[in-house]
Amino acid sequence: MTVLGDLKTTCDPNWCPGCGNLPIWAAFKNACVEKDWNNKNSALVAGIGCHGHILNFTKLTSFEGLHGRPLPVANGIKMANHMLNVFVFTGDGDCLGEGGNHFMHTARRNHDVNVFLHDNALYALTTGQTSPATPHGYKTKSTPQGNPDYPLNPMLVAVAAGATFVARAYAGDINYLKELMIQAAEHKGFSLIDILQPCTTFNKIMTHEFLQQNTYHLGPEYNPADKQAAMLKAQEFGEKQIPLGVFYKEDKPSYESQLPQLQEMPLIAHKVVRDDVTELFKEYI
Amino acid sequence: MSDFSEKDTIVQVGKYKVQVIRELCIGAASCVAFSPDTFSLDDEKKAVVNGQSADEANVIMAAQSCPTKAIIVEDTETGEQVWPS
Repeated sequence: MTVLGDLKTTCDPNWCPGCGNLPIWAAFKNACVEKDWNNKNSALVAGIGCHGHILNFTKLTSFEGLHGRPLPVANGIKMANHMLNVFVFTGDGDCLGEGGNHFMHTARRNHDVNVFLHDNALYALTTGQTSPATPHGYKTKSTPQGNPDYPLNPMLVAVAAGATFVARAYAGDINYLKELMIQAAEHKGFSLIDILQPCTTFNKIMTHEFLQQNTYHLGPEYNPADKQAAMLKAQEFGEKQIPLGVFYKEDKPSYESQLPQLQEMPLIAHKVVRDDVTELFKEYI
Repeated sequence: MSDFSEKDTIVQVGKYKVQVIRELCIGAASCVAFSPDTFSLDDEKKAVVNGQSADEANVIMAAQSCPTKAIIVEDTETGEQVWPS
């Protein structure tokens, strides 16, 4: 069984004091221990941003790709070995800006990957510029007179695009986030957890106190199978009005489950019958 | 060490005496991330120091990660307050 010590690398986190990435990291490590996610059954992918450092601090097989491109890599890993749990760590800039196209279509195709969206509503690694998730009017380095753009709503986009597990959490609630991560991993299909996290250095509005005071958990009366309700709930965001929980869940065949090549065994278990493609190239060149 | 309020916890972790100032804690949980053996959040989402912890190595970093400097660490061998320095 995985123990916390197995996940420790030689690098200690260099995130800022109070950074929301710290409890996200803790929640994921705790989930690894509880579900025995290890190097034999799991792979991690991250994009570029403060969130991406999580790979340096977590001793599991990882791939950090180009800015905005963790999802294509994750999809490739899942298709190559669909027995793996594939976890994607991405930021609001990485996922909704540079990677917006990949986000929409990975959700649409229902790839069985788990996206943990570190959402601090700005680009933090590059020292606090406006991202697609930055609230309208918010002053950043790139919008010193206030952000003229309105933010993209990742929950709404995910549900509309066809994601089959869409949830939101507050980073500081480690146990709840851990449970959501486990639910996401056990869901067969595309899973998104929009994790609201403070950036203590550059986002002076979305602080721990703000998120603790203005979020609430969806109650038992909420039906996550109701897509219209999910669309409405995804648009709720305001003072004392930020819902947390599973907004939408649907059982639908994942992309990988429909590939005939993967029915009998993972792609990596197939015998390679032709490794010299020279003759094949001649047909095209 | 800071003034001890009724609900604050003080625990010896190796050579360190560790205290969480409950009034300052905002539940950011950075300490839990660094040292889950030593720290946890209680029902009020405030950090508490767990007894019988042996996680001496991560205690200083856990304290340094706190955004409100709510964690006080004292080296009991030297009597010096290690953090906040």
